[in-house]
Amino acid sequence: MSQEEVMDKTEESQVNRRSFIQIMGASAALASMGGCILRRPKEHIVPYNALPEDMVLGDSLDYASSFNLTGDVQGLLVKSYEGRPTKIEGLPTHPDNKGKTNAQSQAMVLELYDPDRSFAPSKNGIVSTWDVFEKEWVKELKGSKIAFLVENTNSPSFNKLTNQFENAAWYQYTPVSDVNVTEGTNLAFGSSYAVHPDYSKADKILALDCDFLSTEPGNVKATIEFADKRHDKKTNKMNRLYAVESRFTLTGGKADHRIAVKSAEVLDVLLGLVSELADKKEDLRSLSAKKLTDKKLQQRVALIADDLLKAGKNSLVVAGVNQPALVHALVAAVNQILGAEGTTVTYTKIHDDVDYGSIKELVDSLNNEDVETLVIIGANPVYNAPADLKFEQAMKKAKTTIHHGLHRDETAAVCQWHLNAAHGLESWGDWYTADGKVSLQQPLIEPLSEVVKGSVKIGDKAEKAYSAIELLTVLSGGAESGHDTVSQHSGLIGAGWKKAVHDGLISGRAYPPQTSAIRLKNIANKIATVPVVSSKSLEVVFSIDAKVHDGRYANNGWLQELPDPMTKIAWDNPVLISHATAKEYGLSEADLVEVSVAGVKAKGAVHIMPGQAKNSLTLTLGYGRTFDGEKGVVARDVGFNFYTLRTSDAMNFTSGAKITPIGTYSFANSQPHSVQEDRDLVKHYDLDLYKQDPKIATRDIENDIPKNMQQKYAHLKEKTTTKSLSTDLDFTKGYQWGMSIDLTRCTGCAGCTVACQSENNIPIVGKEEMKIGREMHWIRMDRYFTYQGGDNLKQQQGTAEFKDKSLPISHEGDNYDESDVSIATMPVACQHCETAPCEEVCPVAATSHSQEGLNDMTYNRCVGTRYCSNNCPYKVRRYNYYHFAQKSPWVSPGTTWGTDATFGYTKLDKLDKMQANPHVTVRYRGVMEKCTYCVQRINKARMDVKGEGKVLNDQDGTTPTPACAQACPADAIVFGDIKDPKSKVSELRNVDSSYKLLEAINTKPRTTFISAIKNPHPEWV
Amino acid sequence: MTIKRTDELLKENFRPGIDLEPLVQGSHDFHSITEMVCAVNERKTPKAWYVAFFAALCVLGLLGAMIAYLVYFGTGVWGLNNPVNWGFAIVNFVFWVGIGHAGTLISAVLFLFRQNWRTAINRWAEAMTIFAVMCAGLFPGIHVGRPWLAYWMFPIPNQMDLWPQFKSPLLWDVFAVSTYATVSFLFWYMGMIPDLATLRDRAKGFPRLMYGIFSMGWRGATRHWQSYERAYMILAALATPLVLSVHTIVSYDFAVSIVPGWHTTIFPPYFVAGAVFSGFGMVMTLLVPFRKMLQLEDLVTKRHLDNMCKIMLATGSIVGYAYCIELFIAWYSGSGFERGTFWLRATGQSAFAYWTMFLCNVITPQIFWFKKCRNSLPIMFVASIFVNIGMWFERYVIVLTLENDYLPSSWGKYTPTAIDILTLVGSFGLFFTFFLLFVRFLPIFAISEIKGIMPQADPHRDVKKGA
Repeated sequence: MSQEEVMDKTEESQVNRRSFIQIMGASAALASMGGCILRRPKEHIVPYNALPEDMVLGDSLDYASSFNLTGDVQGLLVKSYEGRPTKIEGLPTHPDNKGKTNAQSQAMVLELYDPDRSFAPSKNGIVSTWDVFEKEWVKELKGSKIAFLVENTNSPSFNKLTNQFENAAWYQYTPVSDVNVTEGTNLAFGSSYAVHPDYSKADKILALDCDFLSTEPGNVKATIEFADKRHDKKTNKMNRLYAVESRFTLTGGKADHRIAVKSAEVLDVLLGLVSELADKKEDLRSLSAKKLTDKKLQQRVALIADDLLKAGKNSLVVAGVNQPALVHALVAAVNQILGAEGTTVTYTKIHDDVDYGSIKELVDSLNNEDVETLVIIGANPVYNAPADLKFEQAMKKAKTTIHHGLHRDETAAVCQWHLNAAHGLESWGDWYTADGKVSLQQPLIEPLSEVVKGSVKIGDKAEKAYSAIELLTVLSGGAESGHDTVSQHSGLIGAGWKKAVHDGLISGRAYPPQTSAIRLKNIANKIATVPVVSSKSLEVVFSIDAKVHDGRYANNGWLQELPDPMTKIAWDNPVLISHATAKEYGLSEADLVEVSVAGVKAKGAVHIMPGQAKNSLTLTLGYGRTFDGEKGVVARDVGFNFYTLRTSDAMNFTSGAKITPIGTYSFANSQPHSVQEDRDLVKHYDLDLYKQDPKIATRDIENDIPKNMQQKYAHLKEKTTTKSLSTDLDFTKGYQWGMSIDLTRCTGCAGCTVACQSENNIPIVGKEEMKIGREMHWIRMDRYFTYQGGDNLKQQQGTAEFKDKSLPISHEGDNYDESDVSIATMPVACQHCETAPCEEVCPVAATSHSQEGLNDMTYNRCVGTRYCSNNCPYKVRRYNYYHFAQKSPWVSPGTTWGTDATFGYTKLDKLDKMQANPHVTVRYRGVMEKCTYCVQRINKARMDVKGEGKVLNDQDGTTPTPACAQACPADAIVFGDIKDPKSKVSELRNVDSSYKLLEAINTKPRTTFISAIKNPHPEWV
Repeated sequence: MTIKRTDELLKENFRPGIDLEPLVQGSHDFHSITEMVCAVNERKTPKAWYVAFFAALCVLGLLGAMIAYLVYFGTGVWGLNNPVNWGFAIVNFVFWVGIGHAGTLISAVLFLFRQNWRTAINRWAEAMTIFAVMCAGLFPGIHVGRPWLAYWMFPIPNQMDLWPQFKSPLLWDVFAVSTYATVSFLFWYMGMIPDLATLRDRAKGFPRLMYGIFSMGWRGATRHWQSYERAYMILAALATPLVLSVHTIVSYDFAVSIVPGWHTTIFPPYFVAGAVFSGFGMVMTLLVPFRKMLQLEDLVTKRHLDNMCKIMLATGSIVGYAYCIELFIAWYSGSGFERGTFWLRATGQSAFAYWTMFLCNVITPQIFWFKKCRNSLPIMFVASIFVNIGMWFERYVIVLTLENDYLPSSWGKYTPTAIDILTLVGSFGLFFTFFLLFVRFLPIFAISEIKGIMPQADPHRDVKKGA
């Protein structure tokens, strides 16, 4: 049959067999492109027509800038790719943070790209413009009675600008401030000072409710100094830290001895200490301090007193901002009398003499209708002001209310005007560091706008955003340039200004130390007025959060998903309660409870925390945010708001609380099992034991090998291998990368986790996924509880083997002393095993070994059998169960990925993608990922020296630094070439206490750990 | 000459108490056997079949829906996490592969050992093998994160220079299972050719055409029979090592790893014994009701069932021994990790699975020491169901060892999602859909082989040969 017979050759039927097949082929190809195999960006990209002079595409430009968190300032070096800041690093030349950072400053770059930020002013909730506002200001508001409520008062420029307003009153409020410290110094010295402890000189430290390693201001500086002083590997000299606290903090975990008491009883302990010191120091007798009724506790305090006296000027007592002024005054007295003042602690004046009123005064004048126009700059009092002030009601008495901030937050929602603020990376600024140096804040990018976000068409006019400084200049009728304001106030011009901007610091400006005699009589009078609180009474302590601070970082996914360093719970603020107290009130883990303080009730969920003082509840602030009802995709419905219980007369802690169970709740706990089960993974020894037997860690490894196998495994003793199991790689040639992690230095702050997340485009997954155990962190912080109740720690652990079922710590019985609980922390990332178990089992060779000893991961090749992760004894591999990168990091906690995921990048707008590091692949779903030792940095470093014909080495400072090591304030992580005998990492791998995790299973990891050494008092009772 | 019927021959020769029970009961000659077996295919489709087939299709549809959902959203729809990266999919894979073991064992190993009683169950068991292996093969394919790239696990030359990593046990799996599936299929199909020809000769119209195609021109010539028997013998010899190799290699998925509780040399024999055990369990689960429904009790006699019970007792005891040895070695090794793993298996969060496994697999078969139990159909049926459950849980226990490995910080918990469970249920849909098609359209008993073990086939009337 010929074709003509069956085909109707009319005009309509142009489709013949050939063209039909062509069309079919084309549509099949299109279908596959639209499917999941080919994913190409839809947009056209246009390269630079003429490259800017100082730019090399693919290379970052790093600018000095500053991070300010209510007076806690860090110098930054911000990486920027083609005008797009992507990564925060510490500024190495900065005198305070010396190139180091913490989780919050690392996460600053994510705050910049928060799509929930407001990008335009609004009036009564309706989008408006700055022009409209400025006109209204000049016409109606400028002449009225104005009150300013500000948050940060440590900007010289800002402080100077306050003079520009004649008819304005100035008030200041931050939920957690050092007001007790200044009041305390006022009580002690007769004038208010700022306190500057110097841990680098302190041999014996007593921390009173002071988490100086994590939540207190200046924690980065403190960690750097403390870690440096912790253990001298050559002389075996160590400092000794005592911690007295109610909440179990990182500082308490790092402490050699810890005393768990209620926050209210810290004063009693301090007085007990003073009474002991008074035996030797006559001056203190005038305080007539009482001894503690608890004999054992008094004995312990006596040992501390003895130790402090011995250390003399190298002793240091510090108190946390939570403690009342009296404690701070007593601490000042003790420090002066011990001779520590001038060595380990100095006092300086507080910044510029601008008289900011308190929020209470503001509320009073609002209620007296003395304020017509209220301008709130940065603060969020509707959310976090003391509950008894009823701020929201008071502010309605003002005719006009104006809010200036990054977000349309709770305060913006009830103000008439909301003005969008410029982020710290978008604006000029200057910040006083604690001791009066001035750090400069340099913008890296024009303020982001709806145009960049992509929700407004390109070509529309971008709305402005003003920093606080610019706002004040505009309001006072000046020109809006933040640069001009800051440079003018710096007093620098020309080359001097340029240098200051380049260095991120105006050099040579620090306050001279101040001091005067202690007024013991005042203190003694004050002691007499302290009311007695029953130790049985249930106390609540309001604590700052280690991650979201006072709630300002609540919408930051990296910080929300970071497990709390102590509880390991993310996406929540559990009410912390001790085992005994929970039992007393009939509570069990993750019970939903109602906490009531003075008749006010708040909901919460309890977490039974080992080490928590009995009869003390810790309520962590900063959660349960609501924003303006629309914004806050990450923060919304996370945790509970406890500001509602906090009143102006009990900002820190108060007694007489009640707690009752009302239901159940569930936490996303990243480490449900918190004891080592006698596996001795974090090897930790007392200094005495270590001195007697420096090789103890190595010997312990041998003990891990079954007796009958020891001979066979004799080759394990060889420190290095020359051959890889999987290939014929030669580990004696080229660079051989390795890492050493010093657990004596590591405080467990988990800053490394956020640094890694930021560097390596690691997605977040949300609370629901985290509950199942699908978090993606490449470096995690393992935290195990240890117990020092007996003479022998090991024996205690041995009895605990596999007893654990529900409690996070497996002691039997209820009669253990919370004071004797300690922690052992260990950052665990890929160990880059020379005989890597993961490589052997991958059927598609997606993970393989590099010549330089890296365990590489080829994402494109991975089909996702997950066998590698099963076979990884360290469980460091992370798998994309969903297309996490698609929504991350703007994941709301309740996201259920399995119902609303779509293929492609459709859900991410431009802003969400801007933070990504261009040197690191964004992983698709179904792909395994893990730590690469920041291979992109290694490659960059190698390329940088290759042209010069040099090799990377520590002496030239050319060795690449992975993001975790770069951020680590304790400098616990050291990376380098283990083949180079002169490298720091080689040196550290060879110290006696160095060991490999799970060495007995013969994986030959490239990451080694240095055992955690503690320095307990030999006579401790 | 008329050939005497079975019962007549038995009357003449059977010595009670000395000879074994005959393998074909009732009054039969060659023709009645053909009639009886072919009747299953030739009688009008019973309503019950339609009902069952519809139900199976629905469950198969459920499987399809679950797979589509999985592929669309990602492996996250299952309860997997870190550290439990493998869950139901791998449990189901090993479970189905295990079931697929009985067929080849019955047809090949028992053939080589001249166990004549196998003829009544071999076709049936082989069919079950093929369908079970299909179910098994499905899971490794869909459990990977990017199933559309799963073909990278095959050594297919390509422009991307991708080549599999031959040291991975998963790759060995690919070869082991595909080889097993191929040989089992060939064995099954080849054995069926004479019977297909019988059906062809009796059928009309379209069925005749189809049977004709698939019987490949079989005419029953002596030459055909000679070639057939030789080929059958060769395939049996080829298949026999596969009985051992498949599950040995499946066990390597675990044994080659370094996970405590997986890394044990006992796994290969333990897995093979377990597989035979579960395979017989499944054969029994199917055979007991179907022999009744299809009125084939004369061919599948109590003696057959009794023999199968004995095999289950033997393999079940081997499995029980393996469980005990595992515990002993965990203690004897002196390794804290091994001890911890086994302690937690028995007392930890998934202890219910461990004790379910122990009870079903070790205790249940022990009832077969008693002849009463070996002869009671209800007891046998219930016990076989227990064995199926127990063997599924054995794999669950093994895979879920991942919950507690080296670092307590990483210990986790696996909770299956609805998708996990429905996918498992759906795989039974796949199995039964094919099985019902088999029962309806193919000769479910090896007609020619059964004739070979009848007394009539033995010119010397030596009934003892049936032993």
